[in-house]
Amino acid sequence: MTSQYDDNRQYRIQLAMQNPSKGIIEEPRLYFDTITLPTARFGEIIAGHQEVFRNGERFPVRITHMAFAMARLDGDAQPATQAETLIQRFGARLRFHDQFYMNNLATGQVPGVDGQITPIPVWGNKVVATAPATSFSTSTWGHQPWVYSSRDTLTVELRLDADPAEGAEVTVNVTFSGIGMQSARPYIFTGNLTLDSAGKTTIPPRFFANDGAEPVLITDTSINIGGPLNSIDATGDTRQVLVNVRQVGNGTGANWVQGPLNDPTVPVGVAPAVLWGARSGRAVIHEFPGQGLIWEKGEGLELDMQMLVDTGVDSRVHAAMLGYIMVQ
Amino acid sequence: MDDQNLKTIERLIEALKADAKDAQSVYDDGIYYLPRGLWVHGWLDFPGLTFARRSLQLDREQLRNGTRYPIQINRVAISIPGNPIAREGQDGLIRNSTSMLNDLDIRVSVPFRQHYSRQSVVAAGIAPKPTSTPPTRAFGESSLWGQNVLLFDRPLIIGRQSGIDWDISSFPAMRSPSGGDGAWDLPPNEDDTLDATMSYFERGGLMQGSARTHRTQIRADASAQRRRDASTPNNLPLQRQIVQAGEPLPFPGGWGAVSYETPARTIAYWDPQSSFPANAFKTKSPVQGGGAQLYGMATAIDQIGLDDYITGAARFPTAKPAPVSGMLGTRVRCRGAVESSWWWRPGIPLNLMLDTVTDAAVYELDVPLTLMPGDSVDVSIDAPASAFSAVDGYEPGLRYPIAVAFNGFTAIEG
Repeated sequence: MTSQYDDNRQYRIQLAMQNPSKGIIEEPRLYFDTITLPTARFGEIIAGHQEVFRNGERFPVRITHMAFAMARLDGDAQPATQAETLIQRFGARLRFHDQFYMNNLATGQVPGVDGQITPIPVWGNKVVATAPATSFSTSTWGHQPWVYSSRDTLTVELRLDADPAEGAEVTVNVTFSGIGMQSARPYIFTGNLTLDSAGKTTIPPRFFANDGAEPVLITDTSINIGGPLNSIDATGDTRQVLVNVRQVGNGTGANWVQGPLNDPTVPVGVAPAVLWGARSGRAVIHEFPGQGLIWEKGEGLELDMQMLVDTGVDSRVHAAMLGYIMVQ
Repeated sequence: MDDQNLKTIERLIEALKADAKDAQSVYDDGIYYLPRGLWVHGWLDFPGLTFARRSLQLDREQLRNGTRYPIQINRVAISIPGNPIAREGQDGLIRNSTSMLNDLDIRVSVPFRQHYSRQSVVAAGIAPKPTSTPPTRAFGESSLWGQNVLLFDRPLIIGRQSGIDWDISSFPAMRSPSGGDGAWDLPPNEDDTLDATMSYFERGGLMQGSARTHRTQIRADASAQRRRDASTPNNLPLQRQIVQAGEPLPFPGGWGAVSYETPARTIAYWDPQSSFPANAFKTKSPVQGGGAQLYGMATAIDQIGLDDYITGAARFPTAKPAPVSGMLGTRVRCRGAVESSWWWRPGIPLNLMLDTVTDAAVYELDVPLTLMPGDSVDVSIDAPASAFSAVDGYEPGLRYPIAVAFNGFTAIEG
């Protein structure tokens, strides 16, 4: 008896099997930036760093999604937690060779609101909500399936956005799930680490080793963060942890994450877990129409943001572009 | 892998490749696809304490396809429009949207064809489609993003000289029935407005897509009784418009009309300040030549201030405010295109029309329902008993609005 999932699974297996025969490696890529919008510059369009959203590798990259979320902490000298709902009060647009996405200027009939760019919530064209039990604490990226070969492992780097208080350490779980390319059975590779500082650390690679007999087609990456150890609430905040992944063995061996360049307090090369939620999570997700954007070597675009309503604090907003590199 | 499996996989891969292409190449079949639907609203009255359930038949004529073209219905959306409180955290006199949907039984039938169920089904008990935005951290926040989205079933191909008129109604100013501060007005001041953005998603151009975005402000109408504006005609040639002369738009149970300090200002139902007219639509084209291919539309309404007011002071501090999209009517039509009648009967709640991301309950039909010209749908509601006690249930003497929409698209041979 076939189920409704059989065709989809067969398609994924067939798609992955095309890769070795065509000699094409498709591996996830995530470009992100954090832009600080000071209240003193309310209403100004602030340009992001022009080198962040750019393909610095030798092979083309296809961008499929865009993600936006408020940073957990604001940009004040004594950072405080930002309300996530404030994302409604910021606008964003992309610039590429004098063309804008979305819209050049959002104009209207109301005095004083002309010249404002598209508010970030309007970018959202994908349903990513899950139940409260998982929405706050888990981001999932259903990316282009990639081949996890036998004897490969993964380097997963983690960092918190700030040192946690004494006793408030958090446990982070990172999970990769997929399908065996020969057996068609499900595989789940998961590792976890308890973080007690904002320093960058790595989940021991032994958790992720593919020591089985077959290559695995990985379809999803999930990042879960638990609540503080000294709290009865076990639900964490995906804005609190930053992540990077790198395949060891086959694949490109390169970091999946590039960025940021605008926010010097955030180290280069790890992206907030909230931005990984292209399938489910709490970021505003925009799925690019058609084939998405194709960046050849050196191509990219720039991001502008604007504080549309004065929030009264120096606010920080994360933005990411998600896709995959195609290496032949 | 045997030949049969290989053929299935090859067909599937080809179908997926076709979906991934520019949709125009797939649907460039000479047929003009336009979002369309039918909707109906009714009132549930609770004249007195009763333990009996009552049946309400919604007006079939509001659900009749009065156009010349078939309408394919893919989704059913239900909401309790107009109630500013989605859920109360404390037991109170006013039952709210969440309770009501769990108390209503609904039965849908298509005359001369089928009943969707042999008996009524609780409205919240049918498998719903995921349409919500992620939950908010604070209970007193209506929505994380304030957005509503509709992704079209089929792309709308519109000519370069054509435009779209899209209007959102004014906000129905209302007075609360109770609260720690006594009765209070929503919004607090008659000059208060809500920042809103209206947008269409579009394919094409150097970056494969764009959006036409318009910023507006939604103003509050402080009329003592809200009536259908005279500009919503009841004799459109292509779509029958049911207008109950003099019938007030639904206020939620217990909420009444507000009268601000003199002079009380009346804002038209279709306020030009909250519209995205066709002329503005045409000026925002990102494509230099040729027609446009629209694949969706969205709104984002900033009601952070309104939420804070509802839950502030001693008003409803433990309440969950509802998104205002359930309290606003909307209407959309093309201008200068093949067909220019309103896509839905004017006045449909915004959260019922934009049903891809919404707080309304949405059900996807496994098999679409096609309504030919003249066909209609029957919807009956079994309303709950009014109260289990004088303070636990639906307050006697009040009426609650309910709205049901059948959404899909129409196919017009051009």
